[in-house]
Amino acid sequence: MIRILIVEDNLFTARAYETKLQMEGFLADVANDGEAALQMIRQSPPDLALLDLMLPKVSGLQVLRTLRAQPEFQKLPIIVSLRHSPPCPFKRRARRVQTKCC
Amino acid sequence: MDLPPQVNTEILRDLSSGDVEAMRNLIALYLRDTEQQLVKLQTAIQNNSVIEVMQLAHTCAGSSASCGVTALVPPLKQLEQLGRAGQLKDAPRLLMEAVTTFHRARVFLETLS
Repeated sequence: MIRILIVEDNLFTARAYETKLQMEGFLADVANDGEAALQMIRQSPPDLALLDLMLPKVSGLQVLRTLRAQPEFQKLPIIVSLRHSPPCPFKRRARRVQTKCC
Repeated sequence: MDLPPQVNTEILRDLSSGDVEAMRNLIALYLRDTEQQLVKLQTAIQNNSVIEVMQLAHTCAGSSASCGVTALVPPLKQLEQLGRAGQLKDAPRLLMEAVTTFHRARVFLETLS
């Protein structure tokens, strides 16, 4: 079963994504900040990460930079989820950029 | 009952993939969390805590957008901007607008759950 890590600090939004993914048959885990996300990815890499931009402790951009700097995570599929037009560094490092509904 | 235009039920149905129990749980979580956030927002405005106003309004706007309660997003985004600008003069009015909208949305959402 495909495992997806949701990196999102908004608790309702994280639960909503988790519900949706589980209903669609995916395994979904949640990290509520960038530090927890990095820790979870290192311990058990997901098949895909859905990454919010604005995160406490370690920002989404820093998570992306940190992961892409490590060979084992350079090809990890990451979808960056944000509410505004992404700055250029995201376009280069993320597999896909998805705009939220607000 | 007329559908309040500020609630996009398609978003909720999509999130829960049509599962009634899942939608009920999401609605309950949203209503509980948002009510608490609005109370905290009121306190933050009273205390002129601009950073807290910005953060709470941002979180609340995100939850509301995710839940399809789109009418709540504009006043909360304005509150977030006031917090960022450090100027809360219009914040009580915007909060009142947000609370009124939230209660209207609650009435509707409770009919779905």
